[in-house]
Formats: sequence, structure tokens, C-alpha cells
Amino acid sequence: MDNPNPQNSGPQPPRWAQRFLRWYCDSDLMDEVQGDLLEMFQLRVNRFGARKAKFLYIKEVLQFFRPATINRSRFSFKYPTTMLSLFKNYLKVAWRNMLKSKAFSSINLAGLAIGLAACLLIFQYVHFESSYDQFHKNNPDIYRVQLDRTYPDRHDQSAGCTAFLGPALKEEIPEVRDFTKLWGTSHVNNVMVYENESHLEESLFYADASFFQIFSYPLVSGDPATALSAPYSIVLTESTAKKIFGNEPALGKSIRYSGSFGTDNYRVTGVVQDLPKNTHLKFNTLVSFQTLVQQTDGNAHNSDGWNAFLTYLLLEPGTDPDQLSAKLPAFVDQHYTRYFENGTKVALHLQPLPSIHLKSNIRFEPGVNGSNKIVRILLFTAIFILGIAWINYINLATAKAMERAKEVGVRKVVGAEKGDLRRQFMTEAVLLNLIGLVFAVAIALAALPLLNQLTGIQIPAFEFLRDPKTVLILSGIFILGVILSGFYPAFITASFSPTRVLSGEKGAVKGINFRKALVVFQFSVSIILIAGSFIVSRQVNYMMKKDIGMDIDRTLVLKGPGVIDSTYEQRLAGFKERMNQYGFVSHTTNSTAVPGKEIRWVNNSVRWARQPENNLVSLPFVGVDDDFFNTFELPLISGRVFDEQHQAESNKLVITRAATHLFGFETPEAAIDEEIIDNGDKFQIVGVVDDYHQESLSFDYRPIVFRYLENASSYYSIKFNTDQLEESLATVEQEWNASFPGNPFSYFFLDEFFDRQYRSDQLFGRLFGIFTALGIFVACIGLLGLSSHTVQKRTKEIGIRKVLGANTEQILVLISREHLGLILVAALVGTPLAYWIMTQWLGNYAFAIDLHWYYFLIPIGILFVIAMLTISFHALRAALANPVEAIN
Amino acid sequence: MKYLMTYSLGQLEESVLLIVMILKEDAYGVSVAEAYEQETGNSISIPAIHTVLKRLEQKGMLRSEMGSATAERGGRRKRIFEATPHGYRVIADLRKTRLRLWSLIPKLGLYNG
Repeated sequence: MDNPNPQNSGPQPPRWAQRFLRWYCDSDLMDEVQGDLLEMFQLRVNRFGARKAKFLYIKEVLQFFRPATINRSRFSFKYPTTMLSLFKNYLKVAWRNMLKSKAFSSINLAGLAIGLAACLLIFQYVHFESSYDQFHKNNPDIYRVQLDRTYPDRHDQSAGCTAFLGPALKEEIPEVRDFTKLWGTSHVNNVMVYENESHLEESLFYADASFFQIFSYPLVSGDPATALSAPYSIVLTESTAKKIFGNEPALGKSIRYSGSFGTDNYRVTGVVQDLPKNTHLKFNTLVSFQTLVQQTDGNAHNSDGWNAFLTYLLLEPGTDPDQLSAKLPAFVDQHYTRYFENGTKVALHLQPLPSIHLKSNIRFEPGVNGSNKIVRILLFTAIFILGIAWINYINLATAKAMERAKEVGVRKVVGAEKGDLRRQFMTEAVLLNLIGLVFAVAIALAALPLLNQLTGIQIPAFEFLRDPKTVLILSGIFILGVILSGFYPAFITASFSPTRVLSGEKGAVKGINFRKALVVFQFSVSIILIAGSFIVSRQVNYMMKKDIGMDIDRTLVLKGPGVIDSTYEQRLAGFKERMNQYGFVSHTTNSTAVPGKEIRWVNNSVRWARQPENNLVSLPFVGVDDDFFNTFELPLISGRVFDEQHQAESNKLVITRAATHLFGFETPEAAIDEEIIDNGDKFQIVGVVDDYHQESLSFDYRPIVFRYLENASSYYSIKFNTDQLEESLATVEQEWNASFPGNPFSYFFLDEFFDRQYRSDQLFGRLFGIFTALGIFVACIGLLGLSSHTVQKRTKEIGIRKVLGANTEQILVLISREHLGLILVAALVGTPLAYWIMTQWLGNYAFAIDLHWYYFLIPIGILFVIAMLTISFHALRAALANPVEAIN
Repeated sequence: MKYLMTYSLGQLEESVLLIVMILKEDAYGVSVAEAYEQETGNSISIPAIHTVLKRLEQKGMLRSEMGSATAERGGRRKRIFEATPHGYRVIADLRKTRLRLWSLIPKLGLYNG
């Protein structure tokens, strides 16, 4: 009855609306509802025309869609009490089934529990990594400015901006509500002295007065509005204050601080609560920016070439950052003209504050940031492990389907419909998954301390469950997994034909090909995981072992004295002389930088005198004494290194091979005796040394310029010719205290310091390795279940074969053959994927290992051996069993 | 003052109840909606009318039975509504109460009738 009004050939209401009404409307109400609507429709056609009548008809059909009108049986269970008792029966049967086949249930449970636990742990870590700087109340209106400079030969991205940037932006662009500048001092040794006790302070920043208005670092004492206003004000974190003042209140105390600009008295104007771990801006001490302005005679205010100031902007609430970004090119055109003359292109970008930790890794970062790629790889690993566990469930459930087929047949015969059976099998999936979840939470809680120890991050247990978004995503994944893993078995099993199943017909149970496809997927993922963790560990190993181009073994580095006066030169010379007299010391040198860290001294207006005047380059400088090159055994390619015997050595330069390319010399020899102009000052190149790794192997060789700086005070490096480092250390400390009284003794061993750059890589390698092992384990127990099922099914066949003369090896081959084929297919699928993923990852490193073919063969071999061991566990038992038992 | 009976009746319900009484044996969804529109000048949708009619039936002021089918309804039958004695009593009671209240208003010339 598609057209309910056949006599009337006039306009009709929309078909779909009528059909929808017929679908939902209760049949008892059908006559009056449909009749009234139709009659009204005809009236309205005459009154308002067909269009409006149709519109009103649709509107009213939709309005009728409500509890009073709809067919209840369609939208709810017809007989709630029966449904409940049925559901109880499902649970009971599910429970009995679990107990009946304990081996299968425990394999499923173990897989699910481990998979979910791995997932929870990874989520814990990933959530922490993504939670950086989310706590600032002014989010999402805080941005950091990134300064990009494109030189003819390279592209430079830096968080260090010019000091005028913040004030000019605030003045000229209405969306910029406020700004705060920071100047980091990690290149100097900051010493705080209070009542004759001195402390070395790391992470000291100069900061604008607006700092506490923009960021949400609560003050324990002091006024956030004025704490950083006056010159020579200092703000400490609680633990720093405690370290210096003990239990005395710090506020208002006077303290002596020696840093880049000599020694002065400062007043403590605030104590800030210890910082949360998830902030990229980790400071222990803040000094008012006005101090820096005074100390530099206003230079920190006016200089247009000093690009070292982290600039954070607070935008008007709700500002669209794109809208602001669109105004920046015009701003650059107006203010950065100085750079254009040199042919440099300048661009400013905005970095949203919470994105800095994972997404930004540029020059002048105030600390070491995380890696988005690593977070993503771990996230995928978690999902893969969970996928493997769910596939176990699907495979085992379909494999077991034959045994359940009789139950299904009987249920169907006594009247169960497909829908009932599906609900039953879904109930089982949900039940098993929930039990698995309970175990997973227990495992995750137990493993958390281990993970925290490994990552060095103390995350409170299940902190991420406080974030509703994460909870939503997690429960979404869980529910999806339950549905997916329960769906297929439920549909396959519920669709068995009762007569075929009950009469014991073969081939009534399907799904073997699907099962094989899933196993191939598991094997492929396993190959990718094994290859991945293998290659990651090779790369980390390679980076740790590779010769960095200079000798940094057995090198003790002291942080130079922060408190110095006019006697410094004498003291330094004396210290070096005395150190060199000890038998265990082969060299002593002092410099402004040591390998293992970004060089912060960068000059921007440097050129070879014969290059045109606007052909300026920007490159890092290291100030060194004349023993530097001997101490670190940096190979000389041409010319000579510094020598204090020569005259006017302070006007001489030694450059690296990469720097010769940058300046435009054709050969290293061609650079000798050439003149370099740095911001108007003339220098002469006397030597070229080979390239070395100043920073980790993620970065290419940097062009570097060495300047002769006899009294460089940042680092003193002492090369030992003994392995008795600990004993020698005591002697060095004595000498230090004698030469530089009032300066704290702070040291590190250079090789360890250098390797610290690889800490996050090592951590990633270890985490990846652990979770790979978990993933393989889950896949293995699934395989164990499957092979046990195969063996069970073929017990009789094996018995007969043995009776007929087959030996153990032949039986083993028989059982393993089909799985071996699957591994081969998985290898074909997994290897190219693994190759592609790992090539991507290695792209992070300027110096990466070559991906040899056997890097991929080894994982396949490993998987092969593991799979064989797993399968033979059951196969061997069957092959060794007395055939009589099997046949009887 | 003492109420004759306790009931609750909204303004829309009251109008619809009255219209059903006026229409006598021809009261069903569309005719009620049409009459309501004619008398009050406000339009009303069929679902709304159905809701009100059903509510009045639940309150015992209307009763209904299935009527005949007509061509313009696509062969669908009507549900014919009729006021119950209780419905009539409620309306009479309402009217009485209203009249008494009106009579208590001081004659201010605001209303003459």
C-alpha cells in the first residue's frame, strides 16, 4: 500500500515520510494518525499549496515520533522479565563455558589482560607527555614566537628572538594583550652566596615583570604583580629557597648572585611553588629583566641583533591565531629590514604553548623537549598489542565454534532466534573482556613503579583517568574492541544451520580462511615490532659507539667559577699549572663550551673578507685556550692551532671543515691566512680542524669557529691518563678549593655528559623493546591456543599416521606446515611496512645506520623460531603420544 | 469557598474540550484542529491536537471510538471523540467558578460583560 490514496491523483505527501511513519507508528494508532495527517495534508494543499503542505506533513511526522505514538515492540524488549532471565542464562552459560575449557579461557584472558595492561601503561606515558603546559589558566591564548631566518645556504629556526619584538607586537597589534621575555643563562655558572655558603644554580632565567600574569606558576609568598618589577629582584622556587635559606622565610632576604655580569646583591621578592613536572619551562630561579637592562646599559632593551630572548605572547581571549599570524609578515617587513640587506629572509611564527614540548625542537629551547614521533609510535604499538589480543579472542572463539555448534543447534531447535544467539555470544565477549580489564588494571598498577623508574617520570597511578577526554577515548577503544572481537564469532556461530550441525555434517563450520588472514595480520605486526625494536636498538648503539671526532674519554669537566674578581687570571693560570704537575693529568684546558650541548654563543654577522659585504653568515663560536685542541685530540687538517708563544693570538681563528664550506673556501688550505670579519672586527684564520659532533648524531656536523680566549671561564676540562678517576677527583677538588674559594665544586665526566643526549633515545628503545616483547608474547599464547586446537582435532589422524609408520619429525612438519606458510605471507606483508616505518624514523637522525637486508631477515627468523617452539609444545606431545590412546 | 470537584485543566485543554462538545459526533483530530484555528485564530499541529485529546481521554473528560473511513483520509478510519458526563461537569463547574469570580470584580468600567 505505497500510495494510500489511489483515488486522488493530486499532490501526495513525500513517500519517505509516509514510510517512516508506517515504520515507527504503533499499528493501533495507525488509522487515526495517518488518516488525520493525510486529511490535513489535502486541506493544506488547497489552502497553502503543495510545497508548504509537504513541509508541514514532514514536520508533523517527525513530531509524532515520540513515545506515545511509536511501536514499543520495535524500540524496546517486548518482554523485559523474559529478557532478564535470558540474560542470566547467557551469563551462566558463558561462565560454564569459561570453566569448561580452562586452557582456552586463560589464554584469552592472559592475552586480553596483558594487551590492555600494556595499553594502559602506554596511555599513561603518552598522556603525561601530551599534558605539558596544559595547566596554565591563560591557555589557549599563550603563544611563543618562533624566529625563522633563511640564509642563502640554510634555514635557521630559533626560539631566541630580538628584545624589541615583544613590546613592538604589543604596541602595534591589538590582539596581543601582553608579552613576557626570558633570557636563559645556561651558558654561565650562576653562583648564589648566602651567609658564606655558595650554591650553583642551574636553570636561571631573567624574566619580565609580566611573567606571573601570563603563566600560572603560583607564588607561595610575594606579590605576583610586582615580584619581578624592580631591578635586582630575584624569585626562587620553594626547593631552591629551602636549599639556600633552610627553614628561614626567604622573602625579603638579601643574597649575592654572580652570573654573566659580575657579582651583585639581590633581594628575594617571591617564592614560587615547585614547578609541575609537565612544563617545558623549567626554572629554579628568576631574576627581574630590568636587572639585565641595567647590566647591559640598555642593550637588552634596544639591540636589534641580539636574538636570545624567549618571547611569549598573551593574546586577547578567543583570538584566532591564524588571524594574528596573517599580520606578522607586514610586521617583519617593517622591523627586520636590517636582515633583508644581507639577503636573509625572516619569518615569525606562533607556537601554541602546550604544543612546545612535543612539537618544537629548535635552537634556544629552554630545556630538552619530547618527541611527537616517539609518542605516536608507542601509541600505535599499544593499539597493535591490543589488536593482537582481540584477534586471539576471535580466532579461539571461531576455532571453538565447532564444539559450540551442537549447543547452538539445540538452542535453535527449541526456538532461539539468530538475534538471541548473537546476544548470547556478545555477552560472552563482554564478560571475558571485562574480566580481562580487571586483571589488566591490576597488572598495570603492579608494573607502574617499574615504568616510572625506567622513564624517570613519577606519574601518579591512573592520573590520565581524571581527563574526561582520555577516558572517553579509552572507553571508546575498549567498547569498539569488545564489539569487533565479539561480533564475528557471534555472527558465524549464530548462523549455523541446526539440521546440518546436529546431524554432524562436515563443513557446517566456516571461517578458516578468515582465521588465517587474522593470523597473518598478527604475524605481520609481530615482524614490524621485532624489526622496529631491533633497528631502534641498533641505531642507539651506533650513536653511543660512534667516534664523535674528538677524544672525550677520561675527561673530567669542571664548571668554571662563577664568582671571580681581578685575580682570576692569576688563579686560573696557577690552577692549570698545578693540575698539569700531577702524574694522572695529561692536559688541562678551559673553554666556553664542551661537546654534548648546543653552543649558545652565535655570531650573526660574519663573513670572509673577500665575499661581498652582504654575504653574511651566522655560526657558533667557541672560546678556547691553546691546549684545547691537544686535550681533545681534534685532528688538524691544515695550518696550525693556537699557541700562546705567537703574538696577537686573540685576533686569530681556527675553524672546522664545515665552516670552510660555509665561508666559501674551496679547500681547507685555501682558508689559511684569510681574513674573517665579525661585526666589523678583523680576524685571521690560522688553522682548520676536522669536523666533530658538537651535539648528538641527530644533527649534522656544525660549522664552528674557535677563538683564542685565554681566560674562558665556563668549563675547565682535565684529561686524565689514569682510570683511577675517583681517587684523582679528590685531589682535583682540593686544588679547586684552594684556587677558587667560595665557588662550589661541580663536575661531570664528558663521555657521560655527551651520552646524556641519547637518554630519550635509549628510553624509547627500552620502552619499545618491552612492549614489543609483550606483543609477541600475546601473539604467542594465541598461537599456542590455536595449535592446541589443531592438535586436538587431529589426534586420531596423528595416531593413524604413527601406526602406519610416520616418525616424530614427519608429524611435527605436518602440524607446523600451515603456520609456516602464514609466517611467509606475513613476512611479505610486514617487511615492506617495517622498512617504510623505520626509514621514516631514521630520518630524524643526520647520522643513521644503513638498513641492511638482514635487519629484516633476523626478525622473521626470530618470529619463526618462537612460533615453532610454541607450536611444537602441543605438536610434540601429540607426536610422542602412544597412538593406541589416540585411536581408542 | 468550596470547590465542587478537583481537577486540573490547562487553557488549551479547556478550549479543545469545548470544541469537542460543539462538534458533537463529528469531533476527530482534523476537525478539532480546524475548529480551533477558526475560533481562536491560532494554528495548531496535528500531533499537538492528538496529544491534548489523548490527555483529556486519560483524565476521563473525553471518550472515543473508531469511526468510518473516508476517501480523503486514504481509507483510514477516524477516531471520534465525545465528551463524557464528567467532562460536561468540569466545564460547567469551571464556568460557574469563573462567573462568580467575575461578579466579584469591582465595577471599574474595564469590562462590561
